[in-house]
Amino acid sequence: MTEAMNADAWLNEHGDYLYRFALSKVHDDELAADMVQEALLAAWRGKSRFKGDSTLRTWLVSILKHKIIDHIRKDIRQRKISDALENDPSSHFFSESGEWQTNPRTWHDNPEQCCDDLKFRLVLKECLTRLPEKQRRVFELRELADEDTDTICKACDVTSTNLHVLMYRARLSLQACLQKHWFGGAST
Amino acid sequence: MKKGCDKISHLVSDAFDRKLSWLERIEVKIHLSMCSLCRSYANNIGVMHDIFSYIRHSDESGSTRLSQASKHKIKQILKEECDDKS
Repeated sequence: MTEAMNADAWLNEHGDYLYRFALSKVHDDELAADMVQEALLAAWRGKSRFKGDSTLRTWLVSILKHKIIDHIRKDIRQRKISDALENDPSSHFFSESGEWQTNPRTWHDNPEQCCDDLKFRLVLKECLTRLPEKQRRVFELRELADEDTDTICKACDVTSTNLHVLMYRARLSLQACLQKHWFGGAST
Repeated sequence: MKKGCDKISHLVSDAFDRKLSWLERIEVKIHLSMCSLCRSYANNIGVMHDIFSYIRHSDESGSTRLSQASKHKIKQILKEECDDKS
């Protein structure tokens, strides 16, 4: 088998899986495809480092993961995204003595049924895009990409305390936004 | 309504990202036992967490595929790389 055929086989066997993996992290078709391309190219160049102590797919995924984190880090640095920590939104949510301004109401909905509802997915997406960008990045890496604290801190250039603050603010905003636009009863 | 919901809601959020100290856990427990608003909030961010983990799993196991155009492009680039080496 020639080398070219091997590289093709990687793409054919793992390309779609890698693409889905990337897409679930970056939510952008074109960027996800670019990430897969970069990962496969890097894997091909470094194929001598593949020791076979994990499966090929696991190895490719770990390279892809690095590429994605790297991309996010560069993006945040280049565009100097540094919102959030100064402007504290908790005054929207709490009185000076720390009481809720808008009362949370208990949601009884089934999470899976929500997700299968396309209208809900649109509302969720809208609520996410309303978050300040760094908050949203951190939140998505945590909740959608399931990354650990260290990786997120490195990618987004924050301390772990900042990460907890950003996660808290994101959760407060999302909770309020979803309650207002979905769980509050008005499904528009 | 209770005072200190701002602090408790922060701890309830933190519990998803780090292990709370013994004292913090007691503090949260006592507050939640007395405050229905914070109980609702704690329930809701739990629902949100479940929603995101469901989305994560359905995205990764879905049937979305690389477009033919992207596949073709990647193939070309890998081929060039291989040709360079040989």
